[in-house]
Amino acid sequence: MTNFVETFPLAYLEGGHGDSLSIELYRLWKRGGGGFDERLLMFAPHLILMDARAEPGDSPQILYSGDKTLATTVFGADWATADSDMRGSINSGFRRVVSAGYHAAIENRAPQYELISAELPLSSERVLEVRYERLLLPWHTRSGTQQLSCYANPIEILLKSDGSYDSLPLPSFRRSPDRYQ
Amino acid sequence: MHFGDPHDGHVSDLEWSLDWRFEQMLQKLKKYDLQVFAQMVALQQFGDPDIGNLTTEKKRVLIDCCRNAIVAAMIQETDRP
Repeated sequence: MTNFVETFPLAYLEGGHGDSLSIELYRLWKRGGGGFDERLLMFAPHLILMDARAEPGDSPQILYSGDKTLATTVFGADWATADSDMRGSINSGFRRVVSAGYHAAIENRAPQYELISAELPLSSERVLEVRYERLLLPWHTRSGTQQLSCYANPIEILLKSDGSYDSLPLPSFRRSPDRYQ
Repeated sequence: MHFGDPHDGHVSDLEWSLDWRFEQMLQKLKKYDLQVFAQMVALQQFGDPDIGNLTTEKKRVLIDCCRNAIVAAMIQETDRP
């Protein structure tokens, strides 16, 4: 499998194309100028929140992962709780492949909408091949604290184990806004 | 525990200490405007975003889950020109 990341123009979302939750999130970000407020609560189960700093070639530290995110689906509910090192549990090679978008969103303070196809090693024998849309949004609070949200809409997840492939069921993310929780 | 002596037993297990740390955390959440972040954590962990009337155990969980976000905000503040 070839790892790749393709960046979509934001006009794609502005034109109402793409995943419905991505469109709603983008509109919320734009309406509020990226202000981090309670309107984000309704999207919380689908969001990862991250620090707005990251070392070159790496993703930022994960501060929160909602119950219905792709990451929580893959790594499990225990991974997403307490003060565990969530980022450290994710393969460093995978983090490197997907890192550029984080840095672009942080440095430009602008949304980043991408199609990602990458291998995510879970162990020496088990590898996930994941293809997903990713929307990164930079948020700021009134005090100047910045966080980055990550919403991933999975398109295909394959589990490669002992040379054979299994297709994993996708979480149902395509819902109307009042049902996001 | 004798009269809340912090040197008696495990400090993190003492209820007054936990309440004190929770109050400290609330102040930092307010300072860095991260109350919504804490509400998200509460919604995920307890099924309710209200952080105003938590049990001791829930306070402990919230402190653990918000620690990294507060530290990140403090570092950002230090790095800001």
